[in-house]
Amino acid sequence: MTLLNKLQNHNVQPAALILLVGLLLVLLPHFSHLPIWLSFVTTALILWRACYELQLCKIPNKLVLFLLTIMLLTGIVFSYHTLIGRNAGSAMLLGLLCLKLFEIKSFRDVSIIINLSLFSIVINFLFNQSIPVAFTMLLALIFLFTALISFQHDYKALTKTTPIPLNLIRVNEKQHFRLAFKMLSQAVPFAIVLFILFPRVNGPLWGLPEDAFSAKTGLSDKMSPGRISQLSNNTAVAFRVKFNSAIPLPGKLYWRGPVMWDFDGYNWTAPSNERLALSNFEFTGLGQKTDYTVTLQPHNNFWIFALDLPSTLPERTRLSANMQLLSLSPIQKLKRYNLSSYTRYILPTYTHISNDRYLKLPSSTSTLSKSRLLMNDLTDSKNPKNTIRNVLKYFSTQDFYYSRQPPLLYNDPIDEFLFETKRGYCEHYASSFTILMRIAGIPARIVTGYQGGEINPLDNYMTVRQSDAHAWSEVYLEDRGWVRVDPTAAIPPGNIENTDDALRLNSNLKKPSHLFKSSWLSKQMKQMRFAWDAVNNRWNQWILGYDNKRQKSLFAAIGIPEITWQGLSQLLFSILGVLTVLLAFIVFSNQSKQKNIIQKTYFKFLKKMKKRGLSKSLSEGADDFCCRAIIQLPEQQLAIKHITLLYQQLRYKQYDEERLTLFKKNIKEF
Amino acid sequence: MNIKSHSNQLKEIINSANTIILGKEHKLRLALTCILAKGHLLIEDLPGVGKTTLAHTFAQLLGLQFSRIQFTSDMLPADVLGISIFEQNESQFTFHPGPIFNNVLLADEINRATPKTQSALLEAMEEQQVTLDGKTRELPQPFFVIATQNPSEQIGTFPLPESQLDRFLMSISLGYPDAQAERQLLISDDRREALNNLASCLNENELKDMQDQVQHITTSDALLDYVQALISYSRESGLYEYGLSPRAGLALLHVSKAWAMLNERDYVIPEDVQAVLPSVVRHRLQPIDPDAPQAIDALLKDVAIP
Repeated sequence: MTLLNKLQNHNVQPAALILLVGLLLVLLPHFSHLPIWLSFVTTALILWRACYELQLCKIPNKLVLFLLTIMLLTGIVFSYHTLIGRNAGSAMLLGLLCLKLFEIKSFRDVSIIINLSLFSIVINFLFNQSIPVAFTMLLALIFLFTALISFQHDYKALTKTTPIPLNLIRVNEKQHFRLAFKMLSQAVPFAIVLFILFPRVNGPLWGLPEDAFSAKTGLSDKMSPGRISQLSNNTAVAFRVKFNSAIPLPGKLYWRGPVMWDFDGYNWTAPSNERLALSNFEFTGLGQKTDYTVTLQPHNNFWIFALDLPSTLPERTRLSANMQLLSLSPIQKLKRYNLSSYTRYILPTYTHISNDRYLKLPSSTSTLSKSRLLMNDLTDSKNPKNTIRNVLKYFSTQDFYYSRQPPLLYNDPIDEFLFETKRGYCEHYASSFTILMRIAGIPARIVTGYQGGEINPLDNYMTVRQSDAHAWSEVYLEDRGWVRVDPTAAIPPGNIENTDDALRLNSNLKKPSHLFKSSWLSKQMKQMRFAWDAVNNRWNQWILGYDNKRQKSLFAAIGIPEITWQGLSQLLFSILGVLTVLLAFIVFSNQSKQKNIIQKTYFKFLKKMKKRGLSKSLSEGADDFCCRAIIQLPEQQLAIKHITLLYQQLRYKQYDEERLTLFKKNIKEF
Repeated sequence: MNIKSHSNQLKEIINSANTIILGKEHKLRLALTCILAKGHLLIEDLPGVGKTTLAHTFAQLLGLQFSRIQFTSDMLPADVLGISIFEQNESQFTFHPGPIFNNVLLADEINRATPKTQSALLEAMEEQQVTLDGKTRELPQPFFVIATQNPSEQIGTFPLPESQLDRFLMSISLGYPDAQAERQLLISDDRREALNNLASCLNENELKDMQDQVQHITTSDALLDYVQALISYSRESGLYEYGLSPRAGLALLHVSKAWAMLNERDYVIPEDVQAVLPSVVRHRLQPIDPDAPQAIDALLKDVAIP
């Protein structure tokens, strides 16, 4: 007979159900990355066990369990092609954990399940560190703790091997929950102190599996038609910006990312060896410098985003020949960096520019025939600026549309786009514009990145989302150097299908009332979105982004400018010690709190009596004191008698809220 | 819990007893408390202060049978317990019960008897039964012994050992009446006659009922703290030869409950404990310094009420 069977006989199955709920909560966030079949299997196993607890079905025998295990492992190998690494490893652990549910023979098994569930909570944070997941895990923690307490209690009550602590006798599940909650709340101050003071090191504490950082969405170092438009509905945050000086005009908010110039007829790429080309260069900044701090979400690539063009380099970064900021190591966790940029600038001109790189066209001669014909008309060989103007005019007058769902393009994407579909997203325009420039003999390249951003009025952070991803062109003019041209901006506002895009692309656009009349509901929704975003930002800035720099600046703010990790450790342990003593004091004084309230109130009465010249000796009973007092203060004998009676009843008969209130009131009025 | 219904009867008992034994209301209440707590009472006092009258009064008021044994040094256990005598007419032994087979027994001058007789009585008191000639006989219920003891420094006494004194729940001394009571005593009629005319206020069942109710008097944690503080003081202060035994602690608590009931309360307050404490511990605590008459009072004065 298993322990749970025994427990059932004692009507204590709630403990097992609480454990199952806790386990389900732990699994919930995992479903986002587990294969669908495994999500179903684990849920089904938990439900199976729950049905067994409710005596609705039987549990599988050993052979079935064995077969299930083999099938599970085979399935995982099929899904991941391995059993190790972050993804496959956690999938295996979770699957086996759910199978372990059918192998409960002793309290030891229960404690293994609970401990592995607690470990799975930590695994969750390898995948997702957002607020909802954190809260779900907190809830799971409470459930698991309650289950542990309940099992411990039932187990002790059953085996009677150890004396049961007094506070565990005769408690129900509700009290177990309360105890778990209480114990966890007592741990909160310790967690906070550990979080703030635990010495932070640069880089991860331990090596995570290689696949731990895969599958982040965002820009890539390749651009092809459809690459960026697939981000257009992705509202995930790319990075947040805090401006320390005036916020640049919306039309100047170009966040520079990967630069590409190699075109094979379909894809734009940047040969990776080009990254190391240049480490410093000069340009002339015009106007006001913009200072800002960027908090970049991890994307597992090297590039970091800066406003066109950065004039300072953050630590551990460098600038590529294409004026793109690059980190020395991939961004695998939240990164914060300070930057200064000039949104108006003049780049230096070069005596020599590698024309074969920036003028290169796809080798295939069968493509681009119509484009070449078009450029014969539009090129002004004497003044490249006129050529640019002509092409932009062509875009604005020839009925081009800006669309989030552009038609697919096949063999000759540029020609197909320019002369057939005429509907495209930014990458279509940037790429065709660049090619047209190259046909006209003007060096040109593609810059990808983000454009715009939304200021959250609640905390004044600018949020740049994946949907703000953008691509534009840069052309080289001999007298001006590289100049940014955003062909998408040439599209007439009326031809932009999505109103959000229209707003983003045309900062000067007046809101046509019929288009942007927002309902009360949508305003509220927007407000809520801002609030949620602000909360998320705080979470990122202070919880996830709390690194040794933040730690140092925090200590600098309270007057300890240079703190070593030894100093931190000393501070940590002394505060923990003080906390322990404090907590112990609170806990022990709480135990006699009821009594204390009565006593404290009665002491107030005694104080008042002392003022009247009567003091009670320690060994004198309240009644004797009352008799003595009445003789001295006969005019107040009723009140004194009443207070004494209430005191005696409260303290020696029964504690009673109502009576206590009356008691307090009487003494106050005395 | 019908404390109130009993309280009138208890009041009546005290009032009636007051008319017989003058000016000793506190002592009368203590004696009644002892009866309610199902304990035996030891009265330690000089002859002629009203010990016998007290015992008789309560027997009368509670509607109980009463008998009295005057202990002497040549008394045998059979004189207390009874004896089997061979009846020639019936050719068999017949048991003649001794004076102990009564509800209220006044054992006068118990320390004049030899230890053998003393222990016969005390065993019967403890076990509420008598075993003679291999046959166990139950004593009538309720059974209540009031023993008197002459001050032990008098000649011809066999002082009771501590272990036997412990069998008495309470011990009191009556003391001389005050001047006013004395005067009234002198001018009034014969007490004995008035005693015989006294109407009983209770019957056996009502008394048993009250005795059972004492168990249900509430004692809070705070009160138990106080009782424990008193006990540990008696053990640790160094004022006494021995500290109070656990039985003494139980006795103290039980008597306090009875006292609370007598005072029409269904919960015990520290004053109850203080009121009964001297009579509960007097015969149990031996001060190290015999010349310190305040040794018992120290318990009341030095132990703070928590």
